[in-house]
Amino acid sequence: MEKSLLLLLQKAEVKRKYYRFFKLFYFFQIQIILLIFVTIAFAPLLLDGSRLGETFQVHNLERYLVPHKLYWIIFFVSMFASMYFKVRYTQLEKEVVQTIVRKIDKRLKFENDNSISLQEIADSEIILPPGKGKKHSNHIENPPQSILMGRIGHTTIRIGSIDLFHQRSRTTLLLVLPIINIIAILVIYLRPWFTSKTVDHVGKNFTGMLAVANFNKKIHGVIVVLPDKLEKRIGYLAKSIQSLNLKNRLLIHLENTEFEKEFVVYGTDQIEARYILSTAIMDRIVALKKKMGRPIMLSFKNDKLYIAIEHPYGFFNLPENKNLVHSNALELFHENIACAIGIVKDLDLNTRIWRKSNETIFP
Amino acid sequence: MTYAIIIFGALLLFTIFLFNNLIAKKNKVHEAYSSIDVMLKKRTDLIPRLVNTVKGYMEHERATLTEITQLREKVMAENVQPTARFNLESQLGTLLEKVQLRSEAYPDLKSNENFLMLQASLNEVEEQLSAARRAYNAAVNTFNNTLEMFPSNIMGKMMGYSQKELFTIETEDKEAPHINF
Repeated sequence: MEKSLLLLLQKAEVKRKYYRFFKLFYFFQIQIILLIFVTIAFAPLLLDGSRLGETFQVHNLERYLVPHKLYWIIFFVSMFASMYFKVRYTQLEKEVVQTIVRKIDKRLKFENDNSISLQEIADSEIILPPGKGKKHSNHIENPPQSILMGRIGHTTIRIGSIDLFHQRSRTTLLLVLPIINIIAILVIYLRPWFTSKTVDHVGKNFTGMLAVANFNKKIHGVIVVLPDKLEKRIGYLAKSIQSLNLKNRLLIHLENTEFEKEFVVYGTDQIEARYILSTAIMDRIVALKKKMGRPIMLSFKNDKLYIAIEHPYGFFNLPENKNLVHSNALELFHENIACAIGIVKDLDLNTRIWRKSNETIFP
Repeated sequence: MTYAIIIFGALLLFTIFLFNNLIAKKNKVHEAYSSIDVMLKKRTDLIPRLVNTVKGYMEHERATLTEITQLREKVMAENVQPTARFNLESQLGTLLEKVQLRSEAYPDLKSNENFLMLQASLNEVEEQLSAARRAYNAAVNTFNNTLEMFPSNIMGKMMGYSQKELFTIETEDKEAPHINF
């Protein structure tokens, strides 16, 4: 490892430790506040009237006033410290990530504060249902993350970090707070009756990576390949259940048993799905899934291939709970990036016997 | 009486469902079969252009090219039965693959833009043809499963349906063409 990178890592590790400490401390204090609120809310049910009066007498409360003030001071100090160290750590983390990513593949360009557009995320049909990116752009957010893009052989590829928020999911955070949760429930369930702008609940939060590459065959419709959780449990009956949940898509039953066990395929055309998912590419997708070691989602649309993989800490982020200097955090990060870039080779996207090699789909 | 009507109604609905389900699956097989036909037609249309492009370059393959043209004419004849046609198409596929492989020995041909375009089109049609065959087999498999499973097998027998054959590649088609340069 280079000396400059090691120094950067050591600095980042110090900030990470402080950030983790204050974050956990702040979280612990919130739990205490919640516990106190819950105790006060349930006290009338547990104590009779006279004892309740005694407990909450003014002179009794005064006894707790000094520690009470001290508690809030500690609470706010830890809250701001957590925020401060998060910013500092994120800055250093970005520098580390940039240094590593630039070393992995010189052909690709790394850009911070750039991301794959919401419309394109929706177009992929694997993270958001079709059309939702445009229709509900007020409710779904993907704050600018980082993007790695360039050309590998004949294939243009963009690998973006995705961190998708749903307004509905943010509202649900309020459900843990007493009193506010009643208002939150009213807002969630009554608002759709009074407004036309309702949030579609099909979409979910997603943190991970989305790669967009130009595909080596022409695609007129849509083919979506999702992990098949049902088939492993209930076998052939899974197909009958999956065919019920189609939304203008056909369930494509392919003959590769290993592929069928791992994935469920939906598409607009039976023949086109088989044209795209040739026997060779099915084997390659199964091998890619094994290599990645986590569920992968793919779609083929508009002559593009989309691949999404969930990474709980973010794709261009280092694992927050691991020591940056002494653990294998850096190796894991390097492996993830190398695997993502390797998609072009693994899926044999550079073989252009069906279209001209210089054809590109990106502007 | 009410129960009898309910049971009779349910049985009637179930019979209608079985009947319609079999018809839909049979039609899916026909649809898949006709898409193979469309792809074969596409390939047959490419042949004259391919032969015209390569005949100037591939002097030593004149016999193969003549054979391709003759096979195409046989395929295009009006009174060819489907089974015979698929056999002819299968032979045609093998010969076309042979021409493509032998073209590697002719550098002038390999740099011909027109030939490269035709080769890409032919590859695409072959891929689509393979996809259409797989789709046909999937449709046949679903239809055959329905015909064998209870209780749709009873309805199948009443309708006089029999199992359909899967599309298999001829033995000579499976073997990789032998190349002599």
